[in-house]
Amino acid sequence: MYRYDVHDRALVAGRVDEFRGQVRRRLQGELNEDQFRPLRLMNGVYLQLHSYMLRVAIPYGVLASHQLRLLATIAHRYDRGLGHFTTRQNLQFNWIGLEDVPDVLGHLARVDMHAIQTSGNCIRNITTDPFAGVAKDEVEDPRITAELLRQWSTFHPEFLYLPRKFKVAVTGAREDRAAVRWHDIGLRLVRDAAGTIGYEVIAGGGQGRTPVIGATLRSFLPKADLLPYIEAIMRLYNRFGRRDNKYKARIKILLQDVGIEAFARMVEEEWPRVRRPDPHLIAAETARLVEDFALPYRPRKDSPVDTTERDLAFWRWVAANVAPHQSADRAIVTLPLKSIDQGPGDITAEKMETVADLADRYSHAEMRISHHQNIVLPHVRWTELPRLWETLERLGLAEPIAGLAPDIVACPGMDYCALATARSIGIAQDISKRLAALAPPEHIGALRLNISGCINACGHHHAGHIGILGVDKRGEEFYQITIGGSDDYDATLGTLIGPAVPAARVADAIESLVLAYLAHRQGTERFLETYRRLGITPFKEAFHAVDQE
Amino acid sequence: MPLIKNDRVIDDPWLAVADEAEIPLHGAVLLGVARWQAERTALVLRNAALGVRLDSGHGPEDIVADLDRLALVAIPFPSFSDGRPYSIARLLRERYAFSGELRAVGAVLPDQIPLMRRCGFDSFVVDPAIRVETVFECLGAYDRHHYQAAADGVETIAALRRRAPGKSQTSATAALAAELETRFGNLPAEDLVAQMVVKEFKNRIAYVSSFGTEAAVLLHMVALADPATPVLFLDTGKLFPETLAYRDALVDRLGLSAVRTVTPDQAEIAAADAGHDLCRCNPDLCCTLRKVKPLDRALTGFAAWLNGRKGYHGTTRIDLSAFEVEEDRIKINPLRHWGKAEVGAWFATHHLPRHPLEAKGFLSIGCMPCTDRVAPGEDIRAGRWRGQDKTECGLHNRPTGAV
Repeated sequence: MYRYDVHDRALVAGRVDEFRGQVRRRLQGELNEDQFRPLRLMNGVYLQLHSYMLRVAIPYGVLASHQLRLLATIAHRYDRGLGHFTTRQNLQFNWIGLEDVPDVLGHLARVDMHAIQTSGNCIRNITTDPFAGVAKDEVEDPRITAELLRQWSTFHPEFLYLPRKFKVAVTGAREDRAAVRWHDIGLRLVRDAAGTIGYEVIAGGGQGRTPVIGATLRSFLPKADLLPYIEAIMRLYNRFGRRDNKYKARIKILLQDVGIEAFARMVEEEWPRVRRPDPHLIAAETARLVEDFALPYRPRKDSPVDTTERDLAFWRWVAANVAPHQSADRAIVTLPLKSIDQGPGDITAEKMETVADLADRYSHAEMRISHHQNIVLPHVRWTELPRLWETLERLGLAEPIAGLAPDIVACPGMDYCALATARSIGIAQDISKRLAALAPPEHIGALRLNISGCINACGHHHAGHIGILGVDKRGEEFYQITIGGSDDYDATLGTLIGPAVPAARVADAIESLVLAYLAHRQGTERFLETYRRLGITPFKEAFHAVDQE
Repeated sequence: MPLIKNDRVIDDPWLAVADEAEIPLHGAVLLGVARWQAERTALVLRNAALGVRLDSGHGPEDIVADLDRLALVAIPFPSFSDGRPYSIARLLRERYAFSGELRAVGAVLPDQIPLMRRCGFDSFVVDPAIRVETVFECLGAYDRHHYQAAADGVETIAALRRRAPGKSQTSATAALAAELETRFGNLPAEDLVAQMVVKEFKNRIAYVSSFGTEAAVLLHMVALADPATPVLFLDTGKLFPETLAYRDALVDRLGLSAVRTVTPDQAEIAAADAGHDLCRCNPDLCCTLRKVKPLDRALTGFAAWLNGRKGYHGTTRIDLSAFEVEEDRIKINPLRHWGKAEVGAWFATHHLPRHPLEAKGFLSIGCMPCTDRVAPGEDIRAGRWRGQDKTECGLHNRPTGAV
């Protein structure tokens, strides 16, 4: 993974000192909330329903075991022993005292972590494929690009006060595990006809109250032009994006107003005039990153043959939670954080410590956080899978559900969030229980369920195969259900299936949609494929049958 | 309203003239951009410094043609969170090469001044309610390095890294050892070896082996990680012939391609051990000449080395950490937690050959004259320098005795 040197450390340490001073001025009343807000947001501090919340950056979701141990210590000492992994591969502490934040940031700095630009109207944590660098279907490791962009965007003096937040995702694989079409800028590493690697640049995607699927701004951008090209997009957005209405301030609205072709022309005019970074420096920096992200072992072409007879439960786990790896003797293992008694992405301090130990033991002390709110061990030997599985079983981290219905993505909802209009965690639990009673998850197959507690769509409900949005109807929690969303390269927006249902009926409604799918599917067809073949009608009928009851 | 320029609070020499107000005959005046555009012809004839306030909604394009007539451009920040002036300032400085004063006015938080300076602003009007000390505290935050180039021309971190790669990339050896211990101290031995050989110390690491009874384990791990890793074999000239044969067999079996045999300096040996009895009359000096000094020479150029010490080898080796510093070099002990059972299991699983002397009761093997069999129940290293106080050759804990 990326290793800080003295310069990276000095940068983070300087910011801790600066924020300590800002908090002091706020607590002494020298700064009012209006002045303090942009400063605290730049350091990941939100004012939540019950307390301040601190969002810690996990750049492109790559986390080392000693860092997770420190997060556990912070959860113990400054929070209620709990952390929450977000859909942007970060970690949130929901019960932090403002006066403690500078100390927490100081602790984080000692393990090369921070909360810089995890909120506010700036370029946020760059996200990527949780399998980056080990995925079998990869053109190039997207973390190299992600880290270049992380450095370029960190304290970029021109782009810290954009019209609205700005999210960038990078992927280098054939399968999109980073939802690039749902980002303000999505970058996809591709080869041109000559085999040269460059980027497809996608822009203007985003969820929130106006969901838009990103459009391709340029189908092939040479790698060397990335930073000036992105800087041009940012400058146009910073200058011309709307600032009069925060709900129309994302770049997607600018792109809609200007038109994608016209905007692409503006970028083409602007970027050759943007000062280019010294190509020698970029080359030297890239070489350093290639080395940092190289595998810590030699990849092998031969996989060991294991003839031992194993439990069916083991194979169920392998089928769902284990993915192929670049090295034939290794595998990528997903640890779902979706236990029924906790919210999606929630993890206790004790479990953090245990997972850190497992990462040491099985995965070269390295983990990934996925945007589906799970932990990934990227370097596990095939020969050690049985032992790892046994341990995970004991810990409740071996539910064979990755990518299946119980692998629900949800925001913290009204249990924590000041913006939410409805709960999401309880709904996730209801659905999990109901579907578990219906059929084993692998019988239902690949199915993405996303729940958001308000129209800000942090639970990415627009992109869920089934999306659930909590709304407030005269003081009562209701849920709108959409169907057919997708966060793959062929991203689609979910379609509303009918009128919103009260909280108590959500599980019924979801069950009806799943039953309709099971009744209509052909062969090994996935939920989304059945929906795309048949359209909404049979699902609508099933939903209405329940709605009428 | 205090005006800050060149890190000082100064009196404003410019007179801001409201859009409807009369423009005085003499003196520097600051006008709104609309008025400047409307009265441009007359204003150009006026023989005094001119400044323009680029009001919200206007961009550099509106004044580009006249930049050489303007001594001051003021850009108002409509609110703390409105970032447009940052882009406008960079364009004026970097694209249009404006070299006059660029002034930030309006909602200017002192905390934002460092960013404004990076984008090309060089004077700032701040709210009088803000303490001057706070402003200077915030200005202090400007003296930093940055990842990206901007209008201030400050050297980027990438440039600094390239200029002094040696210095900036690696911290002091002790700090590096501590960092490695935190990151990788809990890795299983095989992973630790790979991590070091393939990644952390790629092409800068060696394994030092005696090809003794347990050496095959680490040799095997090194071979799995990268068979081209340098293996330094210390041939003191007094080894058992069985050890030499075992070395050849293992090297062949594991495919190790960079085994270097390290020998003592013959002139030193001739001078100090003419009677061939140094090992008896001064074993410490013997070890120094035959092992310690040759190894030091052989390790020149390596940043780190692996060795096979284990905690169960006796009291001298119980509390080993994974990473140590010796002679400004990192010394790595991947097997420090291993016991006899783990060693035996590794041999069995991977079908590794045993040292021929092991079956004859030699559990720890050094030079012939100083190695004895070990009786059942004895410490594994009990046969080394039997009957003497000496327990280590000095490779690992340098002898304190006179040389």
